[in-house]
Amino acid sequence: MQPVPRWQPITAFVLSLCGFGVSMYLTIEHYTGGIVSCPAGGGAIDCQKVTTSAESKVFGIPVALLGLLFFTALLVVNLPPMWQVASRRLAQLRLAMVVGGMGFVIYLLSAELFVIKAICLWCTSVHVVTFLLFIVVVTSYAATSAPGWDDAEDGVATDHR
Amino acid sequence: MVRMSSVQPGGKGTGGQRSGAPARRQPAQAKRPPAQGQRQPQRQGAGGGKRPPGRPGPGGKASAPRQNMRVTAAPPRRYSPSTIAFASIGLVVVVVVALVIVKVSTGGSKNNANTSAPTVTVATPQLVSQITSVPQSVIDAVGTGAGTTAPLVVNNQARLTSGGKPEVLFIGAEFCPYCAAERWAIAMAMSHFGTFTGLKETFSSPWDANPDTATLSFFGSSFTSTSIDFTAVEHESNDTNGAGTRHILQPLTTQQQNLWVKYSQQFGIQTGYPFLDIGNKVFVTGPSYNGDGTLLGGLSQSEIAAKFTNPNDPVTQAIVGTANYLTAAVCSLTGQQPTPLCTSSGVHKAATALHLG
Repeated sequence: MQPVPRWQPITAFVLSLCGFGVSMYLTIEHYTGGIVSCPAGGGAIDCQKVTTSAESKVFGIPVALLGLLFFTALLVVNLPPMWQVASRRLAQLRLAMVVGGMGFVIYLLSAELFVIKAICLWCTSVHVVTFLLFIVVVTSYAATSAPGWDDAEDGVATDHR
Repeated sequence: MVRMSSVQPGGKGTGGQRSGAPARRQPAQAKRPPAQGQRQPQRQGAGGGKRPPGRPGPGGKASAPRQNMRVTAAPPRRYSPSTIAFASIGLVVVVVVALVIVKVSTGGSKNNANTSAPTVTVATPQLVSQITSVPQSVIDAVGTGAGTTAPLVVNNQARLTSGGKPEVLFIGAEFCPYCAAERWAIAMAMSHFGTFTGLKETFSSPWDANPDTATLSFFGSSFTSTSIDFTAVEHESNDTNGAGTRHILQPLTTQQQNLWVKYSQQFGIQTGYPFLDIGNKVFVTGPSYNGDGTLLGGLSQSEIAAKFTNPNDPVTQAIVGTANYLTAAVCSLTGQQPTPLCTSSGVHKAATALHLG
């Protein structure tokens, strides 16, 4: 088992923090009825159109809120001490979360491109953060999912004679 | 002499455990049952793991190959974790790039010069008549219609009035496809209580969802009534040269802005189009029916209006059903006046559904 490079837990935590911050902003704007303006753009760049579209909710739950919950959970599993925990299940959970998140990002991107026909820069920043997290977690998975103490009972004992 | 040997199946690139290292669990690979035809690896000295029979490990005694033993193919090749990781990342990149390419090659063509901004023309008298003279039998047969979403009722609010009359406030935008669908029902319902002049015909944005939905525009129109005040604000124009190329058409007053924000907030949504405030009692904060391509798509204004005499048509069900909800809401503010309309079975059904009856 190769150790996880030091930069990966830190990067994952910082990215989770960024995603949490943007999701928090979008959720607050959603529930306070504020107008989400894109920091730049024009033409097809239209944050308000995206965040007020029918696709801004999934099963009646605002996507912004789902994002906030997602990044809150990621923030917890990506706390640097959590990367020290030798647990295959934790690594699997982390991987499942970023794979699921990436799938949802692709769905949302499709909705923006083909249904809403507008791009929200705030949402795009969250998509980029999710993709970067996906890279960090996927590339570190082999090291973090190696056998750990939680399943040591399956280990083969050293033969001392 | 103490001899230490760990039981190691010659793991890939690990070289086995170092002498004296604490006992560690072997990789899952080591626990996998042998493939059919393969021999169960025997515990032996260093180097004796899953080696093929007959090939001695370094320094170890090879178990002698059994006679008649069939040598099968090597176990399936495993990809290294880093290969899988980079393949996953590559797959995501390919999917995203493919989406963008499809968008540019198909969606982009819609933004070319062949698509032009919708025009606005004065509604023909025939169209206005078809909207404002829906047969009572159709209104009654439709009731709350099919595929409609009931507006929201809020009690115990200070009534929205203007000049002593109950006020109905509409905030929409000419580009907005959901407003395009909603205006048919709004015009139909309001015309029961007053008279429109200067209604326009137009289409929703060709660069937005449900493109080119045939509709009306309230911009530049007026409404006269003795019982209610109807204020329509087309807040933003249509797109003029691609998605998002719109401008403020009618600014909102502070009071209108405050109502829009306040009640959107109260319903837990962002301010959006369409917004309809019926006397601060009944609210529409989104599309009341799905006016997508399967319902209104490809239909002209006259084709839509021609359906209003057939109560079974899905377009009529959606538009007249929505109009009945709005009519019932206004009736609740006018003391159920005009009586014949407000007590008609179609409107009464809608009022009952809204618990206004």
